[in-house]
Amino acid sequence: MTTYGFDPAAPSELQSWLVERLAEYLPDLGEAVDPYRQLGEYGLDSIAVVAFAADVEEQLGIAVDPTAIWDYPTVSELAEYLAGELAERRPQAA
Amino acid sequence: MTDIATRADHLEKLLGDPWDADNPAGFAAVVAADEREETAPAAEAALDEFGLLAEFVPRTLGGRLDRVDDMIELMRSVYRRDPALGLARAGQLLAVVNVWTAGAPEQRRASAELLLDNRRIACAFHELAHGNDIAGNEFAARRLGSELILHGRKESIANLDQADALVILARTDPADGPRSHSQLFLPADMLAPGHVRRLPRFRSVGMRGVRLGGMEVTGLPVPDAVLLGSPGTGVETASRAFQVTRMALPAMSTALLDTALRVTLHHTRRRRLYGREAAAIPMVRTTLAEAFTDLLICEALSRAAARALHLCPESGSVHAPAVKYLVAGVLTDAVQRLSTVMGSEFYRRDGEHAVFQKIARDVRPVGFGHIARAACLSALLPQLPGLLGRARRAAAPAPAALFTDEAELPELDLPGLRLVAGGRDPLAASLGTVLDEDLPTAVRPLVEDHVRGFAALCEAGAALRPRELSITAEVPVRELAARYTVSLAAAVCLGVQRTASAGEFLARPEWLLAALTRLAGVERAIPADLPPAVEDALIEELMDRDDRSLSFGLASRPYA
Repeated sequence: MTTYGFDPAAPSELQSWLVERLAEYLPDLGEAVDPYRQLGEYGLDSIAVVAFAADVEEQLGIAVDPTAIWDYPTVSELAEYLAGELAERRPQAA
Repeated sequence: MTDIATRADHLEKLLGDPWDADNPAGFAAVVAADEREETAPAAEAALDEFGLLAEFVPRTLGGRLDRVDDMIELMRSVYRRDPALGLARAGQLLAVVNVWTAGAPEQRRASAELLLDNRRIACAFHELAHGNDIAGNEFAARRLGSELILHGRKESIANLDQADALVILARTDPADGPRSHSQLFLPADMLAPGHVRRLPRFRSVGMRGVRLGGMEVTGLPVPDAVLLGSPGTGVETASRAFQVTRMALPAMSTALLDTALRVTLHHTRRRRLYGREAAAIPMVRTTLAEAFTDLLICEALSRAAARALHLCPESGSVHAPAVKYLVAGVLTDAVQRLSTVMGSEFYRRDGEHAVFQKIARDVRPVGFGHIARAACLSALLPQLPGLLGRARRAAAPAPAALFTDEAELPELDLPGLRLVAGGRDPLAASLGTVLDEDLPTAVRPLVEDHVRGFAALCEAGAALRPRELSITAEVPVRELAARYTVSLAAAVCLGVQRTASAGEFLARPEWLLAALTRLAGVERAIPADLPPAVEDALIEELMDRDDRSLSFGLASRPYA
């Protein structure tokens, strides 16, 4: 039922969306998040990571634990992981 | 000894009448032991005879744990006599929930064997410098070939000096982040004296019978087989496993309020002031009725949350901090208010009510031990927008089994617990449907208030910006998380009243009206008064249970 403003199966589109979303969590960051830099380096604290995971789960309609962000700690890696998860879910989706 | 009522009766009999001054496990002995910073030896022996620690061991491993709600109810028989006796045992649950969640078969077997043999397993996580920020812990396990070299300090650890095994949280990666820690399951005989300096006992204001130890470890080699779960999963395992303990420990602690209330009744029903029984003085009556209501609220919320771990495990990451936050706060306040009607008697360390001052001290750690209430709000807050959004979009009645006196539950699946709820909380979702239910007329306006309050909370949640959800969240934003816990409790009380069998006290509207009034008051500086007829009904029930030695909580079960 989730509708996206982008093609979530394409890691590059998912990546741009994640970068945009992350900007909301990092108000003091003057630049766009570098998809290849560790999110921890931006000062995203463990509580914000939970909020971000919940947010991504809500938007994509798939289960996203904070562990996904722990294990794929750059936007690029996370986008690839999430695209894979979404592709796996697709056949069951209504 | 299979069913819970039989087990609870048996334990009550073994521990005996707490008021009997000659009972070596009774209040007098407990208070005397507390003065020595110990627990009563006869009480310890009774728990060993009962095999209490088997209650923490899953049935598949030879123990008696199959339901979290039953385990909690049974432990109340221990906590009501001596909270320190209860915590010293329940402290082991903190260690073994991690083993049941992530341990290898041989670690699970070894842990089960120890507990079934009444031996102790300590949970060595705490480092004073890092508090609840466990991902900041420094105690290190550095790999060297097939060994790990342990180095660092663990402080304020219950049972450390008596433990036969330890579950340790250790840093296995010097980098920052939640993948930098691992858990270890370590037989205590690996703590070679040449590498381990025991720290002096940590002394505390309350829970004095719990032996808090510490250790400083220097270059201790241990085999890498001590790893509990994969390297780097220490924080993740704890995030699942501690959902059980963060709700179970405060839930067991409702028994402190039962005892505080019972002692207050004992005192005020016998005392005559100004020509009447002290318990009949309106201010005293009101305080007693409110404390009774508070106890029912705490037990209703914690039972629903404990059952939800089985029934809707995806919500555990929300329910655990919610129970801890609200129950600890309500219990602490209720004991404090009861102390005002105890008069000077609450201050005495001798006499037949001396256990009250012990309860008043022992209740304090419920608010900060294991995890602090403040940290619980921090844990709830990032999930709030998702929870409130979904509750509003997808209102649905909650499963009746969360509320009913008896309920069938699926097996507990600890590794299946999630770190976030994905907005799913059946209790919150039920608030959108409660007005469709057949409500007692007197209660409806209050329910409407709570539903309006929750709708306002949902509005506020929808307006939250992601940047407001971090550790730097402002007080009014954190307050939203606190309000969420109140809404959950209101939903549960409604469910308990609705599903109670006709004729039961819990099916009556009075206690529900009292509960919803009290909960509305949590957010106000001056709580509303209970209507006189409601207060009368509560006092009548309370006195009757007191006369018949029944528990004051949801179960209303026989107490010795």
